[in-house]
Amino acid sequence: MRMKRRKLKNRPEDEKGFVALEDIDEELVRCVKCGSCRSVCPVFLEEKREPSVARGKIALTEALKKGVVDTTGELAGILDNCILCLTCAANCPNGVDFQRIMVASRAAIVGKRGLPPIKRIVLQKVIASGKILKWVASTGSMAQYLLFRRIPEDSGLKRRFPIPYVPKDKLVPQIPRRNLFDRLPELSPAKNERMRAFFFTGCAIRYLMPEVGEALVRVLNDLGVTIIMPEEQVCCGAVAEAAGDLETFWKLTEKNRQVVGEYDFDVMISACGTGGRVLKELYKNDPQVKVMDISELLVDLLAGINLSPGREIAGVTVTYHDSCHLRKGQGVIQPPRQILRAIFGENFVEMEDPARCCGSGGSYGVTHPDISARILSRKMEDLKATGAGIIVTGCPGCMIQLRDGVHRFGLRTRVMHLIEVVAGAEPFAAGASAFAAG
Amino acid sequence: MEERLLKEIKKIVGGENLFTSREKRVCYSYDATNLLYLPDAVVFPGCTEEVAALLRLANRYRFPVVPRGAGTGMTGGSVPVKGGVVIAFARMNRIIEIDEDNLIAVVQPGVINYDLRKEAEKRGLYYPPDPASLKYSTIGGNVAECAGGPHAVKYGVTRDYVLALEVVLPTGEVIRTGARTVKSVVGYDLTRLFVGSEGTLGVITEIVLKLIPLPEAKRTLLAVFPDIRDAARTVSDIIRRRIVPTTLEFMDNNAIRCVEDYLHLGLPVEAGAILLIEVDGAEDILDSQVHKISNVCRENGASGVEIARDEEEAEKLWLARRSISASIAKLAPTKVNEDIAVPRSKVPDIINGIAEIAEKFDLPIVNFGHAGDGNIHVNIMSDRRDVERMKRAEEAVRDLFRLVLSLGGSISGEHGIGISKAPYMAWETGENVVNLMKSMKRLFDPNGILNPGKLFYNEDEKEKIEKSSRG
Repeated sequence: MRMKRRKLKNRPEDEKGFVALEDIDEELVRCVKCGSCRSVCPVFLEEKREPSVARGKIALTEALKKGVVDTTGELAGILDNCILCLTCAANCPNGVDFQRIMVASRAAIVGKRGLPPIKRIVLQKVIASGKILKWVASTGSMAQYLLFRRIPEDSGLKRRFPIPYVPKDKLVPQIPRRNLFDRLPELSPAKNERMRAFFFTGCAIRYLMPEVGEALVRVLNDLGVTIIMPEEQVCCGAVAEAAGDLETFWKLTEKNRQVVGEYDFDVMISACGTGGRVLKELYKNDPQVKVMDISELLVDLLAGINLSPGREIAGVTVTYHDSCHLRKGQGVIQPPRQILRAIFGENFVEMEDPARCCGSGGSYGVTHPDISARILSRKMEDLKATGAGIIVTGCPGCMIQLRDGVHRFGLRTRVMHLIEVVAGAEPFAAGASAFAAG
Repeated sequence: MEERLLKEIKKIVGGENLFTSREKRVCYSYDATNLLYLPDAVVFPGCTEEVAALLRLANRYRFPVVPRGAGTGMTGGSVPVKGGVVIAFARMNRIIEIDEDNLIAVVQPGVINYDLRKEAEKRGLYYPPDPASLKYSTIGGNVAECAGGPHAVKYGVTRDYVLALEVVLPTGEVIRTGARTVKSVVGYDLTRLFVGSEGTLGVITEIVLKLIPLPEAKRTLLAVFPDIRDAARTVSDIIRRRIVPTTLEFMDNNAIRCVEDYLHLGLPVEAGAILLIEVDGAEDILDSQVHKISNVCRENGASGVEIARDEEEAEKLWLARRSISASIAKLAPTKVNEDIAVPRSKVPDIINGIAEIAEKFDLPIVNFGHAGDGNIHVNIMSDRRDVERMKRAEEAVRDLFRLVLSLGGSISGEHGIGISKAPYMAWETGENVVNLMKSMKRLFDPNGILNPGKLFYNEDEKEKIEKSSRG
């Protein structure tokens, strides 16, 4: 499937430059060491030690630039101990862009020390190559039951025997046999097309939660949005960026840019907080690519449609967890809430501090299982207090983490993506024909 | 630092509570002044006995010890200018007791101000001192620096709430000062001596605080003045009419413009000044107070008075005030922030004087702060990279201090002396008082091991320190 070829917009040179240590002076100067990040950093609030918090890491980045400290293992360890949840940046009175500083300092470490072997293999061999990632996913889906037990009620897996990086009680997601592209075509035309959307699936929806992607395509098709979903798209690169592996990051983004450039569409859709943040940053100066989170698009498209919970989701209290990268990274706060309120009315309740990080942070939960679990347990306490039957969020990363938490805490709460909830709401739940009739 | 000493320290606090790597030490080398001095080690004691053992060791082997709360001070009080061991209170962060019968809280020094407020509020009680850093600064640090805040105009500052202390002296001896009573006159008031002593006389390990009943309600209003002098006169006039607001904050035209640029709140950018006023107390008296205050504002030339109808509107009014620090950063990269205080009746004079200083040295100066208690944050905008401009800023500070003292004011309302203001302390107190203070310091700390290099200015020593430890 090829559509009208568009002229490729060249990547401006400076875009690549902003993540080098020499180019973040303006950010570093802006940090006046006031310490306000100490009041919000989820890692600091657990550990209470200055190396855990943004201010300490910024001081170390400055020290690294001045040569006061070197790219030691100790420094790498300290800089690695950050979820990149961006809570500090969202609360910083001086608006320090901590993401930039962290990526630059981690990249400086990688430049000197190289990546740790496991990360190198995962990032540069597996993720950097879409084909190998696909192979790993399909092999993994076959092999997973040898290593893991199924926990049916939680739709997840637990390890059968000790496996490195997997704690004993951790619930890990199952890899379904058929990924999103095995299930859906690259082009899903809407009957009464009013808009064309490029769906950037991201790895998690593609391989781990294809049902989320299916729900998205179904709902948007019903709403007159044609979905373009080329299989050639690759990982958004967030994991590589976070690891400071900028080579892989730029390789992936370049590939995606090429793929994106070959299609004509009105809007690019993401249903992943992390992926959406990367895309918005990447295309912020490109007038041809308008990136939106699915909730932002839906809020407009759903206007004037009478929504109500379908059979599957009726009669329960619903609460919402803000994905950090959706809320603090993209500033998307109200749209998901407006949608949930439209569907559930008073059955939608806010939990205490819904913006508090769940502790996932992609690889952080794997490399720092203890702190991640402690942060998660606070979220679970807040969830429990709402008595909600469904917790909704906008990022697959959070969903994996929340499912683990719900399982460990013995809760019965269902963890759902916003788009799954919309798909389960009337008029969508009854199917396209009912919708068209209504 | 010698290996042998580190071993001894390790024996006291345990290996997991001792940081010695250069990387981790960097993280305890600064405070909000952004000056950087590397300590030799950082320890996290878990109890008073461990603190005492550390000080006995320091006193015996003569190494500097610097107590540290959250490291949010504005004058370098917790920065280890001569190296040594930083005692960080991250582990001693328990609220030991909230005594509802006697309206008292007993806390360890590492408790965050905000955490105490929340616990008190749950019980209908209130801890008023509210420095801007209240969400992350510690009570121990607040006490050591005698922190203030916007509520000081009605409720006073940290010293007004400290009833008793447990302190470890530099010799390692543990003493208790004060009593858990409202009244206590037994010898010298050592409690007050330790409050604001910036960690130079002893290490505070437990604090007994006075709490008050939580005010029933509050009202917030915002008054706009075309002429800053009218705003300044209004401040003294409100006080003269025997009204004591909870807060009486002001921001000048520069501050208003910066915030408006930054947040687009719809602030009047032509205004000479804005006053943000809050009153609290029993619900039924508030309306008449608000009415009186708006009248005073109008009589003094306010062009508009806006009264917040609910919490949300009040929050919006406060947002402007709270965003000043961040928003003025773009005027110039370096702000020289002085927290001078003058008698409240002198607020109009100091405002006029500052305008003259700004003109004389050709530097933008942004004024805002706690006009209600005469404590004004004077921000002289400069650039650390521009030597000539920094020199002018320094001269401007000297002129400012001379003016403040001539008006009967004080060169530091709430930030303390630390290292930033040490050269000027004698200007206010006189040499004889500085000498008395030095004698007291020697009495408490004969070997000069506790937070050395603070308060007292020594030109030669300062240079030496700058050369040897500046990162």
